[in-house]
Amino acid sequence: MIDIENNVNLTREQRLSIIYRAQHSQPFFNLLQFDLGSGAKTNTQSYQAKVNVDKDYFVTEYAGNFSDVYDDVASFFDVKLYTELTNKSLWRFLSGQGMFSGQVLTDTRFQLAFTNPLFVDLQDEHFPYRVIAGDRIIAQLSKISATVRSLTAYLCLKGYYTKNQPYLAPNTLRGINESLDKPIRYEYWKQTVNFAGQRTIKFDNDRFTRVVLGFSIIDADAAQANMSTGTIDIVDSMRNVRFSNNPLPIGFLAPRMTCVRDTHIYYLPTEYLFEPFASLECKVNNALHGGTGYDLMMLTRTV
Amino acid sequence: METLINQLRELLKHYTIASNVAMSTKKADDVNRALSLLKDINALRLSLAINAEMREIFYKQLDVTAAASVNTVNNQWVSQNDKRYTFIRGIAALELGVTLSLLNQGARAIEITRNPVRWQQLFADIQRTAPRGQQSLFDFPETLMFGENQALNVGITGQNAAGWMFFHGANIKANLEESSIADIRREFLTDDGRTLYIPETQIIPLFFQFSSVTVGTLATTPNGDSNIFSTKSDKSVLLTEVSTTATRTRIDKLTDEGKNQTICERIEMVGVAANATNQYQVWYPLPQPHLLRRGDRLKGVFMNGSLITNTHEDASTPLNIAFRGITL
Repeated sequence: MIDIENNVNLTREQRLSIIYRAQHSQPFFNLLQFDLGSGAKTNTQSYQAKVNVDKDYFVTEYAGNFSDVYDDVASFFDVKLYTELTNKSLWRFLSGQGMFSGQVLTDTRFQLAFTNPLFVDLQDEHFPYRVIAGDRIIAQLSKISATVRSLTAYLCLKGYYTKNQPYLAPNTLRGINESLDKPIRYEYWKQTVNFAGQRTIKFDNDRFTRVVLGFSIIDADAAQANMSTGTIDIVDSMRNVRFSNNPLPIGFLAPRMTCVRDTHIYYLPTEYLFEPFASLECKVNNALHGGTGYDLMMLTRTV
Repeated sequence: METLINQLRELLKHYTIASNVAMSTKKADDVNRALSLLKDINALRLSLAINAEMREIFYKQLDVTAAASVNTVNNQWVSQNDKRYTFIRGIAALELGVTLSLLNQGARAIEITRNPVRWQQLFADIQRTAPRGQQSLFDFPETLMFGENQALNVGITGQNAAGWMFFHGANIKANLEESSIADIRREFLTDDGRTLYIPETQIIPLFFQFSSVTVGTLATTPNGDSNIFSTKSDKSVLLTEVSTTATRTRIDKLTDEGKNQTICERIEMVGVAANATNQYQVWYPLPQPHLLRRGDRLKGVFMNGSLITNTHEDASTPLNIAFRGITL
């Protein structure tokens, strides 16, 4: 995880190296959705979802909501992920064979009922797997044998694109140079999500060039229920880049603090370059089921 | 070791980005940056591989017999006989209040615990629904080192039912020949310094199932073959972690066929691999990374039924024990 790189003892060379990485990459989340439908299912039933890759995409992490699905249908899944053109498994083992979801996916718990936490929701990164531009990632679920009420299973691929020739505005460059002359400053930024329905919240940068390291959801009172119905869609309004192909259920971006065992922050796959005066617009489509809302935190540092 | 692998992963991110940029811009600066990162990556993967080849991992099970009274000290020994070896960590399935005394039993006994200590302070608990200790695996505060013919003496007090202890360790090889190192290097680096491929995550499972729920039934592959192998890989894989969907079974024998190395035998599955559907830890790290060489495969003999929980796996249900690692 990028917290290995971004510690308090960074040398100038390491800072330069990280800013190079941030300039030339874009964290990106690909969300795959499986409508499980409703009614009785047999063991042979399988589901498929696809995502097109139009630039070289490097996948580093696989997340799902399968402990919630298990809570609902009492059935485990095998997951198969492979590329269409090269027909290779993303974890390089027999593309024809599914692996048990708990062994390949980290878990995001949406529901309040976390009494049955089947999978670990700690961040668990794989080595980057390159999916070449023009290819397509196909995901298949199988081995469901239960009666299902209408339900969506999610699989979120976390990774990054490369940006080979990024454009940097003059004040971004000036900000980088200014920042490199000074010690690093870490800052937590916060926005409160305390509304139902759709609203845009913004993280507005000031004159400093920064990198965004990760997100977390802090809720001191109680775990929030049913976040699966709440989604977030992040767009950098200056560069007009999106963080995901679809609005993401918030749990894939930031971990919920449900109990002491859980992790407190999800780091992005690579650092996101946050230019001076840029604004990260987060379109939150929120459904509060009781409670007063939560704080969405963003960890940043100067470069 | 985990830190090195984390570093390698971050270096790879740097490299994938830098190499894509270099291919696009063709500028000398960008090319040199990518090459320098690649040099670091290759040095790190070689050092990980050498480290793994200098060790032979093993798992041992100690069956603790029920003592006549809670005050009886039950003395048992674990040893790798004429090899130099280390114990890195342990898992136990013992009663709540049991205490342990550990002693390195060589020509001169060396105390490891001056006073008897609760087992939970040194050993993780097996993953079970009513935990009696920490269920996330942790290492001993210091790796326990043993010379040839030294044994670990475990004095167990207060265990008045059958108990189990599992030791995760590694034998230490005397040396690694220069030719072996060159052989490893040649897998990913040509003689003129060209890198053939970069590491990726790889999962190596052994799939099996049981024809019957009878305890002691030997597993077959889902196709009914009695020989259960992992698939051969065209690249060497550095195995780092292990997980299973079959906690209610025992491993009769698990071997690396290429090296003719027995990794474990006659051992409960829960003493080796983490439960894949567990809230605590899905992957247990191996005692040390194990290098499964190109073209080699693992062979497993599995038996239905766990003697700890007196439960068994269902018949005709595909199960697996999976190793995760990186292609070297």
